Amino acid sequence: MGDELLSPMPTKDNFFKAKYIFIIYFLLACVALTGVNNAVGNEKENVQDIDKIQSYFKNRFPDIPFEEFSNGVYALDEIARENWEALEEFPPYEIHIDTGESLWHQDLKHYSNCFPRGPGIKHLYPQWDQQLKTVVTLPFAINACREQHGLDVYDYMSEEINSLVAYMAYQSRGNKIDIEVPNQDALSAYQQGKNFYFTRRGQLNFACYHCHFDNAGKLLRTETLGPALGQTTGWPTYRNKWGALGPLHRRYIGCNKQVRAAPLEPQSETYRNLEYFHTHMNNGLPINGPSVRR
Amino acid sequence: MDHRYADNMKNLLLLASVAILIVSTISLASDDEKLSYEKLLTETKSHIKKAQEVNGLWRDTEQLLHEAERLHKSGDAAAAIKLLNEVNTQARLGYQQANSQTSQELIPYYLQ
Repeated sequence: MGDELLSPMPTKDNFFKAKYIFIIYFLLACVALTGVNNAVGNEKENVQDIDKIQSYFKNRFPDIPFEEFSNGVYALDEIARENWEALEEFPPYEIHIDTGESLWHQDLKHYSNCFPRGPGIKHLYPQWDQQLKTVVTLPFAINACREQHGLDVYDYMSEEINSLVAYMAYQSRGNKIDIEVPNQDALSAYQQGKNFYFTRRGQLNFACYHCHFDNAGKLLRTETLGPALGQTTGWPTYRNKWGALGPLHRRYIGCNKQVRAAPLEPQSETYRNLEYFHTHMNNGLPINGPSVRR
Repeated sequence: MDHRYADNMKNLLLLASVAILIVSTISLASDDEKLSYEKLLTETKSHIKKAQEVNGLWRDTEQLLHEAERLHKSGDAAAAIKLLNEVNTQARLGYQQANSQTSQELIPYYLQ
């Protein structure tokens, strides 16, 4: 018994056991490596998406400096730009920034807890929340924070939440958008948003990209169609058509209605995924919200 | 006199039977209409639900459904059925539209 234990030579049985254990470990390692490769591959795919999209618009509008895409149609249409610059002298959203600042300081204790980096964090949203397993936009994060601290949540279309986001966007001005897709779950949400963007819908059978890729810069009746690149940098926006400050998801609702598709709820999972894809393509562009648009 | 009375009675009976025939035909047609409306309504609601599940519903479909229901309540069954057929088509096409596009085909050539 003792000799057996001390024996330097493996028995035939032990040799086979070791062989099987080696095979199992080898297979496990292969599976793990495949997973790592997939993650790296998907990350590459995201980067390629950004490269392809940004290159498409840079080639399409070679005279427009990259950062100008944050200004939407005003980077393309000189007359509209003059009009817009005149409006920006006394911007209609200014009062909302003040209201937002008051609201921020009113619940500062809670907001400091939820957003320790301060109000200037708009460029980091939307982001993937691994705990909630969902895409979190800034308005969604504000309401989650309020709920966590026993405060009433805001209606997503209300002036309060839009003013608060306007103040946070104002504090983030100049910060470059930096959206990450950190893992497979986040990638799945990103892909869902991407699929929504490129899917034809509604009675008019249009996808988002038909207007904002294929026909960007062309006229639709009297309005110039804005390029997709840079479309998320200026929210919330005071639209003259609305006569009010509104969120990006209100615009999504409007776009869906224009192609005669049934709109979804603001901050629904589908719209949050769409915003994730839509913002990710703008990585590197500066935040310039809140803004004013026609 | 009796002969004339009998003739009148015959005519009256004939008229009464024709009237009964007409009334029962209308009633049967109305029952048929009601049946086809109910059947179409159930089928259309099912198509709408399926279209909603794939985010494929069109903007005006539900509004038109409410309009068809209102027309039916007001007694205009023919107009209600006509409109309901349009709603049914819209819901069916919305579902078909959403399902006919596979993720590989979605991305335009210049981004592939």
